[in-house]
Amino acid sequence: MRGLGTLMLAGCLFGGMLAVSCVLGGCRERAAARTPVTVLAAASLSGVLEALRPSFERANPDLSLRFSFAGSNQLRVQLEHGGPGDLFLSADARQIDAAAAGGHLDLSTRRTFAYNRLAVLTPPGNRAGVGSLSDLARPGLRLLVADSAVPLGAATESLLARAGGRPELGPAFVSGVRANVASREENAGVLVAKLSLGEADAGIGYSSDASSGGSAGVGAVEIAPELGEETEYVGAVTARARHPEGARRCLDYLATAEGAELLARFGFTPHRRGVP
Amino acid sequence: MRRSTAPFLLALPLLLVLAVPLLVLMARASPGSVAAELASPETRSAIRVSLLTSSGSLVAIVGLGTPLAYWLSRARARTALLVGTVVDLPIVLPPSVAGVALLLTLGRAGPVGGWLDAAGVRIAFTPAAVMLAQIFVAAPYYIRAARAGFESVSEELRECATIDGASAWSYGRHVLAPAAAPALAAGAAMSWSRAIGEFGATILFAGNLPGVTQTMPLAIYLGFETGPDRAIVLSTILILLALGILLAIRLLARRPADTAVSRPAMLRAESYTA
Repeated sequence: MRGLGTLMLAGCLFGGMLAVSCVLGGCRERAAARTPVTVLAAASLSGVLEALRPSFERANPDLSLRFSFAGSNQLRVQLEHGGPGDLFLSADARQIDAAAAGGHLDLSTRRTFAYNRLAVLTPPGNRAGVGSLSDLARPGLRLLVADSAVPLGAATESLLARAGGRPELGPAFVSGVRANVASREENAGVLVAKLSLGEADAGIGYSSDASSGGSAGVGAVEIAPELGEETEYVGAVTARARHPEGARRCLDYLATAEGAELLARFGFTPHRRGVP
Repeated sequence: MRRSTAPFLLALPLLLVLAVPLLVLMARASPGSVAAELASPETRSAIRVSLLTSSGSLVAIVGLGTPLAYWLSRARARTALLVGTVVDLPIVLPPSVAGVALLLTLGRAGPVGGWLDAAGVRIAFTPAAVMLAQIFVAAPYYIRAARAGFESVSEELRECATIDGASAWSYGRHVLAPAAAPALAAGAAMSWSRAIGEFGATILFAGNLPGVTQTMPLAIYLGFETGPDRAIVLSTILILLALGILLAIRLLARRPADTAVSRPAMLRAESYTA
């Protein structure tokens, strides 16, 4: 009967999909000899944390790290609604403070572990010839910035606020820049992607994004230190962590020599020891 | 031929708008990089999670949505209007809103979530959460199509079947199901497409754990952190996967040449959903 035949074919289709899935991933779960520590981390940390995992797991044979990468604001919302996670690594102190205010973090473990600097990013070839921060106010320039809801965007706003108070830049610079903003991106990754595809003349992003291998040709122009905004990467163990000890060790690892070296390699500034 | 040129020319612009960006995207991914990415464990994991969760979601959507759609097709006009509108809502909501709604309900502090949590049932950060997110955003597409399919089967047919001695089950299996099958299949295809492409609600409600809740769209999002090329390759893989499965579903649902149902009814059903 036609109906039955169709049903059987549909069943075969599903069976096929399941079989392919099993082949791809293995149906059996690997025996968890190690304690899994779930780390909620900002997406901009995905490169450095994936690189850090092997050496951390070698140094801590009883632990394994599971990362869930998303926007820092999304991670905070997850925590607020009882989302699981042992450690929260945020690109923004604001999200940490908000989560802590709701009682979702163990504040005694709060620690800054890295900094990232803002830089003027240029597309491959830099046809617009952007060479300094003041160039961003040039009329007609297409500029990409991050939305102020995300850490990068908030840092960009305070950079502009600071620039407005400087004699050599001033309010004219700020209004010129704002007029040039072509788009506000939801995350740093998309901003860099658009820039590397030549969609704009310049962008304000993390200096670390210029040195990552995938964004070929994206250059960075340094912003003067007194103007330069440093975004603070803050971490804390969650209040409902199932494995708080493992989470603590992971956070501490970021402050070790190996951790600092990896952070530096990915363009971050490791937290200076001895400074709270 | 003259008669078919005009419609084709009118159809061309939108066809190009839909097809050209996809072709350009796929053209940028070299076969070598696609093969390399397919060999990576992270990508395979993401494909596996996507296939498993979307299949599971589809089973739930079809299994639970068919009775709902059937009930809607036979309910009183006002009830059907109200319930039908509520069922349509998730289509209008931005996915992140859907994610927040799910978190509020099923998160630990939520009305349902708190109860589940007390019973020791963990949903967040599991494939179940991924499926719930997919079901929430994708079910309305199936229910709409199935309802239209059921509505297109005339009432007289049911009466005839009953008079001839058919039980409700018999009627359902031998008359209703074959008649509505193309509409159900088309609805299932649309629903599955929406489910496998789901991102906003998934990342918020289910988290982004590789091998557990990281679906292809979430992997593509992370791919941007590495660079646009990785995202492009992963996108190409997802497009090819979806193409294959959608074609398969459409082939399965080809209209049967011989059924007891009138051709106008079949055409009506197809026109609602195809």
